[in-house]
Amino acid sequence: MVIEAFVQALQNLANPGLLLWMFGGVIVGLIFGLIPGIGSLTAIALFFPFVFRLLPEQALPFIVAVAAVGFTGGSVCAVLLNMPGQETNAATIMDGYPMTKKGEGGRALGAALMSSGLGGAAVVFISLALVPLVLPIVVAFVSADMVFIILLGLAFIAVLGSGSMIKGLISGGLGLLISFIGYQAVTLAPRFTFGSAYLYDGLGLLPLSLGLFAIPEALELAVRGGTIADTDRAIAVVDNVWEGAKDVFRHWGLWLRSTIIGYIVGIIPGIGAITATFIAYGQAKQTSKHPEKFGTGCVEGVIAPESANNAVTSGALLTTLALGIPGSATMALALGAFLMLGLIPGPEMMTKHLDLALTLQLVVMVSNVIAAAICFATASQLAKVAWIPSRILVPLILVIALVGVYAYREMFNDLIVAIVFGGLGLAMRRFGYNRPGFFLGFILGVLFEKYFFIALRVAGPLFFVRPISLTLIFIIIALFVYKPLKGLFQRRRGVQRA
Amino acid sequence: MKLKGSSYFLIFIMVSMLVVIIASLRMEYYESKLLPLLISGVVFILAGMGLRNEIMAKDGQQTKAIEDETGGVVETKGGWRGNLVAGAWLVGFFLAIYLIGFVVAIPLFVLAYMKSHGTRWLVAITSAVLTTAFIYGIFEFALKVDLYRGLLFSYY
Repeated sequence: MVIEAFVQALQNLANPGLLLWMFGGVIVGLIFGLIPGIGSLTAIALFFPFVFRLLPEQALPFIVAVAAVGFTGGSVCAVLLNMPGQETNAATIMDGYPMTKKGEGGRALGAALMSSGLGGAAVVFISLALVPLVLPIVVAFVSADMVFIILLGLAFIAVLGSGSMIKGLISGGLGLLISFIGYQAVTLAPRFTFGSAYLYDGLGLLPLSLGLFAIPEALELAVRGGTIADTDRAIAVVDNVWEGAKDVFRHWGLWLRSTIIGYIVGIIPGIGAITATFIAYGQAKQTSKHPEKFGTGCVEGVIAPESANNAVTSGALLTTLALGIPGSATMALALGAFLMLGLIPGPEMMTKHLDLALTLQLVVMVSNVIAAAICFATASQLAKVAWIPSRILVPLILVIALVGVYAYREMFNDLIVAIVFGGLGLAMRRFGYNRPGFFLGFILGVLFEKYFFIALRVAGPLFFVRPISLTLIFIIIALFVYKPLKGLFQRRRGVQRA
Repeated sequence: MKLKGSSYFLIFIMVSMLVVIIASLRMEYYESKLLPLLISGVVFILAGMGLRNEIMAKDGQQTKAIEDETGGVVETKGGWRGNLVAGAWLVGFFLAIYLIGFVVAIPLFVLAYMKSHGTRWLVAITSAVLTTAFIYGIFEFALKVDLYRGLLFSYY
């Protein structure tokens, strides 16, 4: 079954239409990834209005390609301009920009792009190898287990995100509550509609996602003002790129370790690529023969984080497709796109649409290779995107966001919802709340309630007394208990030493 | 005791949760009210704990909003005033759309925003025209979206 699906996936990938949409996604992902403060997350949100009008075989490669290559674009600005395109490129700055200042910008860029492209592409083979192992596990899930799978996803994002656990949980809870607006699935009674016919079908995914992610970024960009990059343009000279590419092969062991770290971190929902990059950077420094050179312009310090961040996407995609739990924020939005297109990730995706799931993994691989090739050829030109003044970017983003929201259902009220959630998103951003957690709660809320009541009716109040459900409950409890217990032990150890 | 902005936000969440709890209690079916009651109750308690932590915090420094990479923010910069001004532009754009529709509001907004931020006339006008043409071409022609015409023009 898996081999048949893989052959079908290869055939799908040879489809010129799919390749065209994937190429479009690569271009969009690279450009948005290059613009610091915007990133592929905003890109996916902004392109929702176009995507939901496409066929799944057009929309999904586009979305996945945008998600896959954003980090590659971000590495160009990180190395040349001392400004990470995305936060996940922050670790690259530590050695990438010092190399640029030493006149080795081209070499650093070559190393970043080669390790990004190879890292993103190679891990797809791991994903493909894991599918036969994941399949029987996913198929064994019933409604009761799905209730806890959803809770586990929210718990991962709330607890493992680097912000406060309480704020993470509040974000997820608010998202769930917002999803309850409209008809209730079991009774068909309207809830929280306050008599408004507009709210009977619930809030739209698109106004909410654009409000939460695109509008706050535009408003913050407006406050920041000026151009995004404040680096001397003369310093960003790109030459000797191939020397950097060869460095990756010279340090292939480091590249492989960092790639595997990125992939494993990607599989675990909620941790995110930024953690993967710093873990990879740390292990590179620890295992290096000359750790003192790290931070002064050492090529290993570029290879490690760049290999890890692109590898995250493939791992996150597998978790998203197999369990319906997004492994990263971009995957949370991608999950929203899947649902809008009528595809429900989870057991159904891994059985009925396995060829599609494998096609998307192959899209990640090819996108990474194409993105690296484009950046190799045009890096110095691409870096100029960061000099676009915010006074041009801000109105453009706001116009596309509001027109996109209206185009979704041609309902004026959607604009009001987008602006309200834009304000909420801004407040959440300012006060350190977890917007992806909120969004995840919103998109999984309806499914959560549906599975909950099915499980309750089928198995009664003790529906969770099943091996899989109990295991999931144990993991959720362990997640919540781990941090406080670790803190307690560390305090005790500190007291004993004192 | 001076409350911070984040504390007011927590109070807002707690009040909202009380509204949800009251609205849920009035619902007829238990299937409708069960999960909203449960979740709003938990969020209310969590917000209360968060508020308590903030009030009890010893240092009065402004909390830096550190969000994970998934949220796209590393650190907050600047004050609320800047956001309020930017928000006013957004609301102004929204009101313009409501009154005169997308096709007229878009060039006006782009032109006004860029001019007020020091862009030269030629660049501002060109950007306004190109943005409108792009939006009109993509949405009206390609995607067949009937863009909202505005309160003033909807009768014509």
